[in-house]
Amino acid sequence: MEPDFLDRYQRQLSLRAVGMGGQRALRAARVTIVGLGGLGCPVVQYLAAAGVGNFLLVDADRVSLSNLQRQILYTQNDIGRFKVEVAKEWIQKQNPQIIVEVYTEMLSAENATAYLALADIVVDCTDNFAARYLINDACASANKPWVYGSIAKFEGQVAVFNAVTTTPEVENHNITTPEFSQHSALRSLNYRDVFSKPPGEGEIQNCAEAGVLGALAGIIGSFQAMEVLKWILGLHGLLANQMLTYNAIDHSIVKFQLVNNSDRK
Amino acid sequence: MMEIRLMSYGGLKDITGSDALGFAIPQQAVSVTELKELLLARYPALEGKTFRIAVNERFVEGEFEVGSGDNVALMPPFSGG
Repeated sequence: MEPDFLDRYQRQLSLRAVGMGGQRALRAARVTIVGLGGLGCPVVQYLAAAGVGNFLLVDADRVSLSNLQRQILYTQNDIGRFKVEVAKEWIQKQNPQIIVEVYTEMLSAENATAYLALADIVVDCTDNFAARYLINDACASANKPWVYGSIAKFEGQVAVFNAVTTTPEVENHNITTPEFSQHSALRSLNYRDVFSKPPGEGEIQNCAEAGVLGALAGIIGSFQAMEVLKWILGLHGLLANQMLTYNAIDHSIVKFQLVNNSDRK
Repeated sequence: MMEIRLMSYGGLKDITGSDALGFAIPQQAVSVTELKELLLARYPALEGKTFRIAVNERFVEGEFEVGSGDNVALMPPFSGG
């Protein structure tokens, strides 16, 4: 721990849910963030500030002028630089003790398994389905939890997939057989249990096509950061086996319950 | 005859014309599969779209029965980040 950690983390050390043990868990945690755009910026900023000790940042994009409206980690001086390089500098200014590895490649079938294997938990901050399904499938085969977030105009979706949970589908299915309840730890459902295959090319608009206000990316990215913190700290209420939707117009939140694909008729 | 509350998310709002509306169904109860057929008949632009149906905030499909007054959500995947 940094010599100044008592002072630095005082506001969260005083939470019973964090304390010294939680702070150590945050320091030891390795988080891979795929995509350092509108969602990735708040995710990395809140997690670094909270004391997550190790980051792997994956993004092949460079900062452009049209990013600045919502990707508030970057400034006009950063235009043309790799986002992961700028994010690494920001983290190390925030706290030089944090270890950051950066990858300036697009996530691909070739590198996904290797990049994600290094993490305790993965955060999907991408803007496309190809990357999202790569993350899902690589995490499913490596037994890694991942935090999903995505936005569409004034709405967002957030979920935690493939996390070990002690209260799994039992609640959703009203299954109370003794055999089933003996499983104390089961993996939560994954993205393919919601959407079994990607939509057609061009079917779903991304932010460039549909438009987005930066504050929504900040809200949904903050939801994702909170789920990562809850997972590391072992807190209850993780968004496993459910998908939260948020609407920025009326601030309505709905948590949809997920059902296992193989159980669906 | 019954009415359900139909809620559309993401780009599907542009197809149904509203984020929440009443949807009349000639039967007393329908399966999710039958409901999907009724929705496609009323909103042909849904054809070929990727979306899930949630009834009372739970994703369901197939023979799951939808009844009067149920909240039915049409949920597409989102892309943006």
